[in-house]
Amino acid sequence: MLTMTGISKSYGETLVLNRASLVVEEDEIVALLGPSGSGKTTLLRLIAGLEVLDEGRLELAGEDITELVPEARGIGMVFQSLALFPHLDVAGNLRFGLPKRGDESRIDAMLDTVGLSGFGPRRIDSLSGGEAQRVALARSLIAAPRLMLLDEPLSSLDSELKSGLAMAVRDILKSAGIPAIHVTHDEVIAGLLADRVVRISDLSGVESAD
Amino acid sequence: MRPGRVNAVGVLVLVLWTAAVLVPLGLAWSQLAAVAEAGIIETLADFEGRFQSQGSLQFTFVIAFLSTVITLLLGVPLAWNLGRHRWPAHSLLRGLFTAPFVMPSILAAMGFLTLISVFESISGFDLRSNDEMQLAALLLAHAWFNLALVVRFCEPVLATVDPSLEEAARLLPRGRTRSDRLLRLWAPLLTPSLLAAAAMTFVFSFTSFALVRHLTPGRRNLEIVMANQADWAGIRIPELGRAASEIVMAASLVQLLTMVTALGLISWLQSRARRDISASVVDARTTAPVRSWKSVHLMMMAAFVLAPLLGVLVASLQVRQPAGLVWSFDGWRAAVGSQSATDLTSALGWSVAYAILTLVIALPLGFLLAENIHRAERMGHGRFAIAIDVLAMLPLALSAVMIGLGVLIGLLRTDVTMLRSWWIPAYGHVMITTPFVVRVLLPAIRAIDPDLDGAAALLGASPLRRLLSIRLPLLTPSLIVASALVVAISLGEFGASWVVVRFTEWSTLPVMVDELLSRPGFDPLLRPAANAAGVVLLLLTLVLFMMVERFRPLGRGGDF
Repeated sequence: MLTMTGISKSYGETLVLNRASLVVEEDEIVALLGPSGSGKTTLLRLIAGLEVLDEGRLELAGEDITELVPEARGIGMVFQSLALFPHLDVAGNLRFGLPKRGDESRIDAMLDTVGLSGFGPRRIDSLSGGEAQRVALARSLIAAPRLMLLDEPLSSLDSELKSGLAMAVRDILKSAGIPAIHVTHDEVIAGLLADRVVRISDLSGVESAD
Repeated sequence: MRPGRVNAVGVLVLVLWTAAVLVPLGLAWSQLAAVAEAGIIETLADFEGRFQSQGSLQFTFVIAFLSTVITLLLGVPLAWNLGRHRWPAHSLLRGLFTAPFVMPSILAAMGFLTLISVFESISGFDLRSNDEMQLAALLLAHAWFNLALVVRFCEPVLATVDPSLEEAARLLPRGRTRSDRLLRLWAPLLTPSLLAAAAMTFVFSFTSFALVRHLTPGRRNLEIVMANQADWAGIRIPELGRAASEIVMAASLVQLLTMVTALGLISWLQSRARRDISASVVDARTTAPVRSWKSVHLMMMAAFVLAPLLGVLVASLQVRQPAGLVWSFDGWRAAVGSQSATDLTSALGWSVAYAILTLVIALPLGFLLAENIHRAERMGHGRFAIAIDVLAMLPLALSAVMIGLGVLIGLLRTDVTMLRSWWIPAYGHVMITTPFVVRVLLPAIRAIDPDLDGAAALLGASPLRRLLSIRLPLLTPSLIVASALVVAISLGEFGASWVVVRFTEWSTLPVMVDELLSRPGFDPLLRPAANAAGVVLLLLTLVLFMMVERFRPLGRGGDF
């Protein structure tokens, strides 16, 4: 599904990623493990197109997306900060993920899917951490992305809630058939959510994952 | 000071403040009502029919509205350009664009008069006798003055909105194009700040005094109408004081209602703006595209802001002679000498004396009011806290001329012995500046971790020691900002001072400048002398403003 080949990125003199390669299969959830500052978030931002890579190639479902702008890649992302729009209610946030003149009834259906039925009119600042995380996930899912990127979205939650939500996220992604890369430094959560766990240090220097 | 206890000092301060604000206003109103023969409804109905006030209502509203529109048209692109990018010498640039807000209004009037002279000498047109040109100059001067409000309200929002919001929008179907994001993300996020800036601009343009007085001399807004009646309003000789009292009553009532409505709107919008923007402050700016039209735009706006200020400096060094303008220090010599009813040194002395006296009273007063509001909030007395806040902000709902009239009619014409009190102009300055102290200190007081005070108390520190060694040191940056603002506002205050001190020997620097500008222009040294006094005012204000900017945190906007 996603083929990432020989990706490098530096900021000034600092080399963050050196010829990193990875393949994510269809329907597969890959957990990417690594300590803080190891380049996990940078890697996700490169795949999403939010940062420009220095070298390498990105293919999604056989299409070369290396030069595409983020909005044309068809990739969803749940940010570590969740990035929920504070001026919109829950339904308004999900509406952002619908095509213009899209079917509004999908909002309620998606809220059902993430276990938040009836939350549409709720303000963002009235949500608990777990609820906000589900809204962020729902907003990305409703856009029907070809690939989902999860940037430590569970990191601010307590352990019990974290494990429950990790299982819920896995079930939702699996039932929607969306492949995902989940970035985390938590090995337990990585094991719960993903089909395969990869360490970021293992990505470098691999010429091609094929 | 521990929350949970009734604080005698706090209650006393509250009572004193309320009395200090309401007593002169109440006395002034009763004095006006006693002299006026018609009731308030009748005076309001007659207002537009009187030759002294005819057309002023429409002029005031139209000018305030048009000024607001032009300010937004110039201010929004500037705020966007400053808020979304990190420019070389960014703090200096932000300081430059927000400086006009603290500049004395008389200085803006002088600057624009100079620019008009320059334009006239280049183009050969007589702009000053052209009504439309006068109005255009007034609107531009209001925009120059209020540009800072749009920048101050909107730039912090633009500079600190979590960048992942825009990134998230780019990845979603309804945020894929730039116009989508502008419409669905930025417009709703900015609307409360933008409307608050617009309402504030409307208020300042509505109560503009020095600019209307000097740039559109043939026109009258409500401030001018009230100021023109100051000599006779409240005089207890009906033949002399009746019409003036009725006009002041009607104008002040219209003004008060308009300002209360606008300020209520601002307060509501600011609470919405705070609610919508996340509490965490991140620097979301990107490196500026130096070689682009954005740089050109920034340079053009810098030229617009600097032109009137440089005009004042240049005009102070040029004297008109038969052969044309020549460079000379004669204007400076005239300002220091006996050209004016009062010389520059004396006017500067009074201005500094009133500024210091105002600071000594307004700073502790504002601090104690802010402490009371905070204590009421922590005790769970939300409504009481709002009531104190509203009382503290009361003078903001009054214009400078209205405050001057309150002092003149309520105090001086009630107790004539006060006419000999040199400190009386500071009364108005304290009323005008104290709300600003409260607005600066209250967020800083709220931000102090209450556990610090508790920890100090458990270690045996007395309330006074906790105040001196914990709270005041933590509040030092905000106290400096508040002090600089108080001194800057007091130094540049014109409307209230003009009403109260214009015929006394205590003329302040802005009143002296006005006096020089208002004399017939036969003497070639008058304008350079007025501009020389203006330069002194400009330098004093700039130094204080830079102090304020140095201590202002990123993300702090509309609360001054």
